[in-house]
Amino acid sequence: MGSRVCIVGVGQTVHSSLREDVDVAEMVLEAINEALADAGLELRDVENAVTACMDFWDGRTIANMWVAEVVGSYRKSEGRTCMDAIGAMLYMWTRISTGSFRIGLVTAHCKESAGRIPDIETAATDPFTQRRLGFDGNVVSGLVARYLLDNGRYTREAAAEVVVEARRRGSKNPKLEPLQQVTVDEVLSAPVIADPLRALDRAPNRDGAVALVVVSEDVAVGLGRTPVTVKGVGAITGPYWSDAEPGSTAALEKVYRVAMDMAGWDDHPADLVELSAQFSYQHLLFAPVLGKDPLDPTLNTSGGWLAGNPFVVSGAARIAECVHQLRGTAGDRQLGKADRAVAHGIHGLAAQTHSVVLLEGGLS
Amino acid sequence: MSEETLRLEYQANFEYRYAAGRHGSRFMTALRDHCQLLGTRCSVCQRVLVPPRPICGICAAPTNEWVEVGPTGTITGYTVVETPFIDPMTGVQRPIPYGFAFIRLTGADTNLYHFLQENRHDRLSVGMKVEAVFKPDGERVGSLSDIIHFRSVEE
Amino acid sequence: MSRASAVVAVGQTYHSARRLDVSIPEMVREAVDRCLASKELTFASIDAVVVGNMELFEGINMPEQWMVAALGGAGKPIYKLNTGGTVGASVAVMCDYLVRSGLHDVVMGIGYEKQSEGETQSAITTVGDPVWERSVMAGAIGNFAVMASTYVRMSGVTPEQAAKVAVKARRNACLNPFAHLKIPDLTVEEVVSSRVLAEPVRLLDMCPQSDGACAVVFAAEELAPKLTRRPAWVVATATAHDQQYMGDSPARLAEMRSLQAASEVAYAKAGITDPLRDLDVAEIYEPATYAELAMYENLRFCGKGEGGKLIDQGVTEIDGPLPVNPSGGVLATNPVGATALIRVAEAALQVMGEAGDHQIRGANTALATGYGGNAWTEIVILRGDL
Repeated sequence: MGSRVCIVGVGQTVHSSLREDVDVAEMVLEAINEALADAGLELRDVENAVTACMDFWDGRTIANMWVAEVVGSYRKSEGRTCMDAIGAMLYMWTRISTGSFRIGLVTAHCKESAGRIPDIETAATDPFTQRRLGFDGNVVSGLVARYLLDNGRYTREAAAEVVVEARRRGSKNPKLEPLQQVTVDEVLSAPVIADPLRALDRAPNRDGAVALVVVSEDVAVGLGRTPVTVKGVGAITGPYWSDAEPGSTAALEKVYRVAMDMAGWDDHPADLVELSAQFSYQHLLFAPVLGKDPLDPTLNTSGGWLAGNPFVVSGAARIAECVHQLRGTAGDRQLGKADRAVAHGIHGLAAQTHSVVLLEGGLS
Repeated sequence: MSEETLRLEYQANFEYRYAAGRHGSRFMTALRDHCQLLGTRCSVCQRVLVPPRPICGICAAPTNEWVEVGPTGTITGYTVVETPFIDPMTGVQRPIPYGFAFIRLTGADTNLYHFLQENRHDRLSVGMKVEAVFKPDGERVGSLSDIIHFRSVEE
Repeated sequence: MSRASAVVAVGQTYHSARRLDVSIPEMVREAVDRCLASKELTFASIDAVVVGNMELFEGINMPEQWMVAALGGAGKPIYKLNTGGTVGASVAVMCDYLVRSGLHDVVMGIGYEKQSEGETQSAITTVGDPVWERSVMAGAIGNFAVMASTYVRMSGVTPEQAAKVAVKARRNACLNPFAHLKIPDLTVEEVVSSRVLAEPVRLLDMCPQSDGACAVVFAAEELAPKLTRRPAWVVATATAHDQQYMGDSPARLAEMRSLQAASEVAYAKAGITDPLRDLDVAEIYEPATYAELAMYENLRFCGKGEGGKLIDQGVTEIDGPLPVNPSGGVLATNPVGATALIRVAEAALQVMGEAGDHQIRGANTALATGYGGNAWTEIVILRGDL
């Protein structure tokens, strides 16, 4: 194997309900400028980029063309992925670990305010048997949640507590638009979006971007910054939602195991986990697989996706929080000493795909 | 297996609102309010870029100055389109033939795609001087379509 | 630093204007099955899948999640890319990185497009920047014609020289059982008198729109020789971009900055100093006749302004010193999401010695390119004997 791969810079816009003041390039540039300053690098130092964005959400084919210049890819290599940003991080890991590049920029962006999310989600359902019925991601997750609820796999109260806690923790995260603090009763009595799911069970729609500066070990040493080392990466796609056992966590279990083996971690759980759940019931399903109780203080110190990140960007926001915690730059959210962290992303309808990045503080 | 193969028709209508952004909004409002065309100048190579933008890709450096360009320019590439094409903004087929060109606005170092008043191929040439024809006051909305087309400038 | 990877198996569909007989997953599966069967591989041999497609063309969002069963992929890593015309080559490049990094041992790249299932011309306009380009677009053909006019002026290329590219492509396609547009007896006169789409581009100068899919398997160096008799080793990949807007390059087609940048990197990695001498065959992404001539120049097959002369001399004919697109190329077959992967697949078939009637005898080093409207170029160079 080649070089170790390190994250030396993170930058994020404040993820907001509406960023109509900036176009996509300007929005992503805010995150890039912050990440490069964090790393002590300039845009011209960047040798390659991997971007994550979705054409349907952006309303543009090859939507990454918006960011060609701001990611510094003139006469250089930019890879583009259409999946949660952890996939982009994985791709950058291959580019740096092989020694092909020494300095890379990973970006993720989405403006969920740009299009009509129900239409965009409907376009992801089977065109022959499902699309004509006109249902969206809420309905897909509602069907899964109802199955789980009726089989005693979770309670609505437990899910509501997840929402309350996500919003409470998110209020300490300066990169999130402040959300109203809520009680369990308020979550339980919010308007129904797809039985048994209530409006507050779903993450709010957000516009935003994240940028990560990823470098080889020698560059990290030269920069004199406290790096975070990427120890394991993986992504697994499960069966299409209507072919799958509702609420199956098989893909998550598998990808976590694969990444743990790659990192050489034993079964000792990570000090810190940032998981992606777009719906509250998903948080209850995924937390135990990643070795945490759903309300554990070391799980989602950022607030998580439920506190407000855009689609596809969530995985990058999870990585950003892990980096801050491992470096000790998490401000009011800082835990005690953390050495190992897991960042998690999901993709597809009802979390069909799971991806993870395993990180360690320092040049481990 | 059936001998007959079917196709299912599906008409989807995806609506989007695209933010023009800080740079785009400044350009579009100057176009709408003053028939003025603007670019941004790179802080390193000094090239003037249209559309205006925050970063010059060639230098990977910020732009730092707004510059008025046009409304005259030079054709750097052109065609006369004779194939039917549904205008994505109107959903209606544009009348053919029509002139279509890359135009280097005076003072700019990049080219802008736009339509030409002239649609006869033998009356067009690379290097030809043209000028923007704007929609009248009150009809401009802050879009590149506020320029109707470019027409040749007699020298 | 990293291990080598090689193409070991290739499969593609029978491409045509409308594959009414199959659904999208069935069409993809046709390419996948043909690929696996060519080397006694099964789905169990494949560790990960990389998929390329333009979602908005068929109007299906996250298609790789929907058709995961057809990809044989449930329970595997499935990576989805979309980079426009380049996407098939972007898929190949990612497959190579995944293998070389040690993350996966055997990776299948898949590209597909069922152009007949969407309104392609209006779908292509979704490529344009909605603020700056869409309101002044004239479809792919109008945009291309403007660039071609600049190239014609700078190079002095004639319509007859461009027409020779069209004749070569459609004649070569007759030797390729999977090609879409085959015209055995096409003449230069027929091309230059075909209907004008947008000066200087005529109907027979342009690529068709096709339905089709392609699958290519990449394997790590310790496995590749066990999976095929003669692997096509990846000796170079390179990617380069231009600036953001279509009008940014002063002479976009004549200059092709992203192609120049990517080919410089790829040639250096592969130890190629004189491409005309060092390459045995090229499969390039030529969306139109004029583009192929411009690409000859920017790939340094000839000097600036000599693209027309190169085709006149027959250098790039199937029996010439450097055959370009013996498969018929994009002018014969163009399912966009698959097109650039077909270039890699055809280059691999040549190196593996499996190209059948369009085999270039003794082909050892092959070049494949992907073209993203000059904004984006991906290059893959394959070699048999290292």
